[in-house]
Amino acid sequence: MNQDDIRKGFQAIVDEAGTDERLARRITEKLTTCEKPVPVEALKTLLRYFIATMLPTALLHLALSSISLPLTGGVDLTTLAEQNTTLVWQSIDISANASLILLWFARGTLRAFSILLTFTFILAAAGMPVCQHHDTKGGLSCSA
Amino acid sequence: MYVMSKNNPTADREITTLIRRYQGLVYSVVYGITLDAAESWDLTQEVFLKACNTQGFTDEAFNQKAWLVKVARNDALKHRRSLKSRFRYLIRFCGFEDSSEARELEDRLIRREDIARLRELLEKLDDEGRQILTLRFSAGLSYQEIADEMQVKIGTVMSRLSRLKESLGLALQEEES
Repeated sequence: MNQDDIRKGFQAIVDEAGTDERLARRITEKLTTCEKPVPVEALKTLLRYFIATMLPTALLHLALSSISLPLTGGVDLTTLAEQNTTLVWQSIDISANASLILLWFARGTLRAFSILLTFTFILAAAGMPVCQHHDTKGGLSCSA
Repeated sequence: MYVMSKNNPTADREITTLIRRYQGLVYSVVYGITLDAAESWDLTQEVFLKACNTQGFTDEAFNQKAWLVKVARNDALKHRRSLKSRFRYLIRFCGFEDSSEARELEDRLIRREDIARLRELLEKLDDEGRQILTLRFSAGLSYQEIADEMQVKIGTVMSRLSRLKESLGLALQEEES
C-alpha cells in the first residue's frame, strides 16, 4: 500500500461521512435540542431491553429452583448441607448424578447471567453520553 | 450553551455551512484513530457541540480546521483509553444500544475497497501510528504540524514513519509536501 492509497482511503471516508445527511442532521438536531442533559429516551430504551431480558431469566431461574431431584438413599440434601458441606459429598455420589449437576450448572449460569446483566445495565446507563454545558468556556460568538 | 434557533439565522447558517464543510474531516480523523463507526458518529457530534461553545469559532480569523482536527484527535484518544468506551462497545455488541444510523454509514465505508484496505492497515498500528497516518493523510498536516500536535520532535515523527515503512511495507515518501 502506498501513500496515495492511504490518502485515497481517507478521502473516501471524508467523502462518505461528509455527504452523510443523517450525520449533518444529527449534529444540527443536537445543537437545536440539546437542552435536556440526560438522554431520557435512550435510558428508557435501555431499561426496556433490561426488563425484557431480565424477566425471562428470573422466571426461568425460579422455575429451575422449584425443581427438586430425588436422591438415592432418601438423603435430605438441604439438611445435610446445613450440617456439614463436606458430608454431602461424602454421603452421596453427587458427581455421578448428571441431572443434579446439570441443574446446578443451569442455576449457576442463570445467576451469573443476571448479575452480569445488572452490571451491564448500570454501566451502560452510566456510560451514556450526556449534553455537557460548557458555560465556563465563555461563550459563543457563534450564537446570537 | 449554544442552541440553534430561529432568532439568528445568519449565525445558524454559518454553523450549518461549517458542519457541512468539516463533518467528513472530523469523522475521518476520529475513525482513523478509533476504527469504530458508532463512536466516530457520536464523537463527531460532540466535537461540533464543543466547537459551537468555543469563543470566536465562526470568526474568519479562527482556524477552524486546525481546531477541529485537534479536538477530534484528543476526543478519539480519550475514547480509546477510557473504560467507558469498552463498556459501550460491550453494550453495542450485546445489541442493547441502537446505532443503526452509524451502522449504515459504516456499511457504506466497508463496501468501499479502498477504505477496507486502509482499515486493515490501521488495525495493525498502535495509537501513535494511527495518529501519524491520520493527521498526515486525512488532515493533511505537515510533519512539523504533526510533531507540534502530538508534542513530539519532528525527528520522532520521521523515524516513526520509517519504522512503519519497514514493518508494514508502506511506500511512503519522505519529502514534505
